[in-house]
Amino acid sequence: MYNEKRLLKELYVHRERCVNLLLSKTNCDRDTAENVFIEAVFTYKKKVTENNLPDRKIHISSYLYGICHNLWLKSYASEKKLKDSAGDVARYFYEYLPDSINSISAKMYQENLLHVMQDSLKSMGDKCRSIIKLFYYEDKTMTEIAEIMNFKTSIVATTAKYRCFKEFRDRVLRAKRKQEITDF
Amino acid sequence: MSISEEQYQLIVKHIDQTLSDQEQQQFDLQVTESEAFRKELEQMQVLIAGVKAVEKAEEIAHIKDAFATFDQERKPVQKRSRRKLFQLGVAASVILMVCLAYFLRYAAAPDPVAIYDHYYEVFPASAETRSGKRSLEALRSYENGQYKAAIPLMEALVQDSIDAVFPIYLANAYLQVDDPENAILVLEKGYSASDTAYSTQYYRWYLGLAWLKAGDQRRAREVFTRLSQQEGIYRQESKEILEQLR
Repeated sequence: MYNEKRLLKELYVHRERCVNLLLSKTNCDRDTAENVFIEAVFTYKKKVTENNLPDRKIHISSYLYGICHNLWLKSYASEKKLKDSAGDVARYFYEYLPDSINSISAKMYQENLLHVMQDSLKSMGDKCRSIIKLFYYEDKTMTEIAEIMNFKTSIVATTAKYRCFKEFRDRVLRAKRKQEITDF
Repeated sequence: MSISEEQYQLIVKHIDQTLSDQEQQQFDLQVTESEAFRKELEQMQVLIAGVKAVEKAEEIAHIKDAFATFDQERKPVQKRSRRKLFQLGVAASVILMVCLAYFLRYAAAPDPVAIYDHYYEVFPASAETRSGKRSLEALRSYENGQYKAAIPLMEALVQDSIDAVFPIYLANAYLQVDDPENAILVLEKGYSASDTAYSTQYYRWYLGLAWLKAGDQRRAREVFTRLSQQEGIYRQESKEILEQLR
């Protein structure tokens, strides 16, 4: 059984080594290195929960450092600085936004919209938020969600997901109108 | 401008990747023909990106919180360890300093007085071999260990240059009453006046010891170096003393 706290503790012990390696092998500063490590832990954790770790036996420390190094290279290449933005919703938002959408450029507008989405999601009922999270964020199938959420069938889960996401959308649109955010 | 429920379902199915072939055709058609449809599609994609971003940010924050908790759990231990390390460091330093002081006092640095005590033997005197009332009186006092009484008598004999050996007696008397400075004066003066290699050895030997008793290792070393370089009864002892004075 997956134990999140134990996993995080297991990964935590590798922090100093990974951060120091990053500092010695790249030109990043400590804040950036710390944030890169946190993101690497996030990636590793996601692989564990998705049962997506390599089949071969891996050395956690080396594997984590590998993720750290790739993340750093990626952020360096894209000039998305990780120094102050680990946990920054805006940065993740752009990561997840399809390339075809480029109309959101004004920072102020983007910040307002993100706040609206964040508030709307948080104001949802636990059940609805969980379904949305499981489906859109954790990429679970409707069958898995039905099992996790104790729905009788996947069809019931699909209906619930449809209803919940629509509710989320409506909340965002209402809040958008209220705050006079004119367009996406 | 808004879209119909049917159009909305098409968009949801497209995002969920559950469109049938027929629905896919309808979807493609809507994308081409309807601006409202395209706008809604974009809006849905933005919403989903927002959901993912918010959830990821929360998860990252959760990891950060967990690590901060682990940091806190470690800190008291570190503090205790640091305090303990500090205490151990202080204790070790004290022990080291004591050992060092002991070493400097008793092992590393030679103690000239200790060397003196080890090697010094009073120059033997025999009143029987001497004639003359004054000489006999002085030597008897010396023999009987009455050095304070012997000193003025010996001083007078040395003044009169009765015998080249009297300065040695006098110097020994001074050394016995813990007056190495006067012993040195007497020996240096007598040494320059001594005329035989035999008596020179005694002068040098007691002069070296007097310098040791006075705490002047450098001068003592000079004297014992010369003694160690010449054949004589104090050659071996001089070498030993030099060894200890290094």
